[in-house]
Amino acid sequence: MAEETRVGTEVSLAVGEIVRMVNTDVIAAYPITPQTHIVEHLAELVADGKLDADFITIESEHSALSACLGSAAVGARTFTATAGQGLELMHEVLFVASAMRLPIVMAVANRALSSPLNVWGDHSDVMAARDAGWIQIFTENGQEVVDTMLCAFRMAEDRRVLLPVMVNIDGFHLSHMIEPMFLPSQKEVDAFVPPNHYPFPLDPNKPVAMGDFAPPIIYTEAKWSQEINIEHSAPVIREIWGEFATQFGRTYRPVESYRAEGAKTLLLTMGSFSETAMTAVDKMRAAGIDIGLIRIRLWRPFPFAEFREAAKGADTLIVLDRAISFGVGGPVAAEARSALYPMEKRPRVVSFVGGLGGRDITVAGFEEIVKRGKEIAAHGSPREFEIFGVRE
Amino acid sequence: MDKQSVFIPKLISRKEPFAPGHRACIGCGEALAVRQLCKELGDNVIVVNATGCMEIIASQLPNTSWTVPWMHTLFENTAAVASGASAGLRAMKRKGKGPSQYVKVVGMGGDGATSDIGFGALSGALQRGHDFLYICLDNEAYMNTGIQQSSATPFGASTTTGPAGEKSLGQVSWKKNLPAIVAAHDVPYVATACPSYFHDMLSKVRKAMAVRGPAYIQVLSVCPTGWRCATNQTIRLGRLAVESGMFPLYEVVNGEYTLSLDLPTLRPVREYLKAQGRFRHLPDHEIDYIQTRVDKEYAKLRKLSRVAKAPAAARPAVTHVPESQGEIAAGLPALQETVDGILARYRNDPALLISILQDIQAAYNYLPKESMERVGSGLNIPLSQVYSVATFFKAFSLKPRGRNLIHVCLGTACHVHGAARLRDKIQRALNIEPGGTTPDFRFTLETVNCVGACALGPVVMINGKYHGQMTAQKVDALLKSYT
Repeated sequence: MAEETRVGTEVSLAVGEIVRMVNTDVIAAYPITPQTHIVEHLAELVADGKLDADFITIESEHSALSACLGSAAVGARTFTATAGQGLELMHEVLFVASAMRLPIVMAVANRALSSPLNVWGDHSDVMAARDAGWIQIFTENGQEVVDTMLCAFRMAEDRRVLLPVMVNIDGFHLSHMIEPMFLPSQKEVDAFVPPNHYPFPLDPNKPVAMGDFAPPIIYTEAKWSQEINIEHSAPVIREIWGEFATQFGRTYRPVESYRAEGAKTLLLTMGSFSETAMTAVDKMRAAGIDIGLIRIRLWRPFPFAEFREAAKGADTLIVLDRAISFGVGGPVAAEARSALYPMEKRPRVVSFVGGLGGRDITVAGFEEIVKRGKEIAAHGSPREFEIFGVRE
Repeated sequence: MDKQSVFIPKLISRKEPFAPGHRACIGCGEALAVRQLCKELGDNVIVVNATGCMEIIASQLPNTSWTVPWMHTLFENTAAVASGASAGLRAMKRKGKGPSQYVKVVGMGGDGATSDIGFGALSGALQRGHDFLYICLDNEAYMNTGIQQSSATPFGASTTTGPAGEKSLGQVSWKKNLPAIVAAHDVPYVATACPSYFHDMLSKVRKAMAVRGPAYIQVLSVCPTGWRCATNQTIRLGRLAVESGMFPLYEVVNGEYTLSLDLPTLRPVREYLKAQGRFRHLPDHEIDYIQTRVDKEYAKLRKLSRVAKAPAAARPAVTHVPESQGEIAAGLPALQETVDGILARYRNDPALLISILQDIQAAYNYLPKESMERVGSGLNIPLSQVYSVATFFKAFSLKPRGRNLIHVCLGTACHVHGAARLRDKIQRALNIEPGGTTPDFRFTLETVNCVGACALGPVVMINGKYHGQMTAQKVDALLKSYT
């Protein structure tokens, strides 16, 4: 678009710029690698008077998200960011934020979990939080992070949604990249993200009680309404992405396919590894190997229809997870299997876990995964899932 | 401590922001405390409540006892949620959003939520200096989950996780001194209180509400269920806790300690302990140990403190411009001097009491209670006599009034010309009842039965100026002309 400017900057800083442009009121954040560049940049913007917000230098992540509850409940536009252990310390609060319908936007610079201590990227943190009732979106590159951040405020605060939104950004591999990105102009942001009008704020002029005690006679209904609510957010999410495409010319969908048409073998990834996977797909296609790629962008609410549509026709779906559900395998693979199961003709799911704790997977690595995946599809594996590149 | 218990009912709001019908146990000291606290907190608050008895008894869906905005999220994060709410209100106010009036965020939690699981969150919020009041409702154990031991459980108490037995006394460490820990955060206002001394408790809430920054009040809330005592002993046990020195009442204002109730001799702790089943197992030598320790702690506190003298302890620092007449009067350091000046003008003559009170009202727009104490002692007459005069005449107000005083005449002549409609119109325009004051202290509305200007009826008098032949249509313009 004409009014956007192309800048080369670090992805974390671009996140901060979007938080500034939407005129956020409150940021409550606790420093944790690799999220720090996001909050440091925001603190700087506040200190320099470029963003008129209260930046709460809070004493823990549990309190960070708790402060966000209070801030969102009085109707303030609220942002926080975390990673890894921080997300786990927030765990209890995550469920409250979604059940109380508080539109908080949180960037997660995805990181591995202790022990042993590891500050690098994988999806262990977010996979442990997948059932918390948040809208969860995975991003692939800097531009997508910028665009998703902008859409996240719209989605969270839409009166039909009113849910917290988690924007997943692979720690270091994406959060610390310096990339060229189109940043919207202030005018475009103002046009796209209207002011936050939380419909039921804590206000003495119109008192409400939030977070009451629910005995068995009403708890099930409360949870059912929460489920209905997140299901109903899906069309709104699509609608907002549609509007974004009209205004900015970049299209986002819950599930993306890359050279998947007619492919009998598909690779499934989430997050920043998809870029490498695309290069690998190009290379393999050029070598005559039958392969395509699908990528889940909207992880919660899970886009069943789009996912089945993207996977249909394939014989094999090779899923690469960047987290282990211990005793089970890859969490994405497990969900993919369950989503595909009702289909009459469905691809066989082959599960790999890899890229843990920041270990890179190169183009050659993906070629190897596809090669081994095809072998497993044809001959089976002694294991439910395999770990890519592990030294035994 | 204020010595006005006889007249307190006249000074306390009849409104019940904490509505009856909740599920508290019989004799619950905490529900009693919250009911009284809420009267003083008023309407312009947001209450953030920790999980615990108070949340469970008062908010079971689909009912609630809370008529003010109220939020419960989790057990350990109340101070953090309050931080966020306070910051949110502040940021929005800066940007011209949110409620237009000043709103105080009030965190409430039990002793477990405050001194144990939520300790870190409380410390963080105090240190950051958010504008909020935190009230710890201390019933000395996890009562909601069934009387388990907390760090606020006193030495020797038997609880379900620290039971007395053949080899145990129950709790064997001393109660955590949370008010002192809070005071160590260098916050403007810290106090201990007990609903058995509710006038003292409410005056502390008033002071805490005037602070623009963190304030903390720890309220001892007798729990007959957990303390194993009769349900009609709540008030008595609260008094015994204070008078025995087990739970002394004091304030820490800007780091300076003041004992609210200085006791030359403490009652024996035995009297307090023997009244409760949780201490039933204690042998005499353990009671002696407690006595020694309490004496020592009390002496320490007394050494730290000065003693509160009338009219009141030092006021907490009000770092922002006061937003109401009430605050101005309450915070006026010159009150003593002003009242003494007026008394001197009338040669301290008790026969001129009415004139003296009129002059004080002219100075403050109402009669601050500290001023009446000063008048009583200055004229050497009982305080009851000052109150009897102050409450007899309608012209005197014991509550802060607005800058502009509206009198709507409802005398016969005005009445037949539609004065009631005028009154209703003004009520609607200002959203107050007769006798009420707008939250911004711009107007107080009162009705009178004749202003002696029947030919002009209907008459509305503002600040002594007559506005005759008033109509409902003219009211808005008239009100607009007074700022």
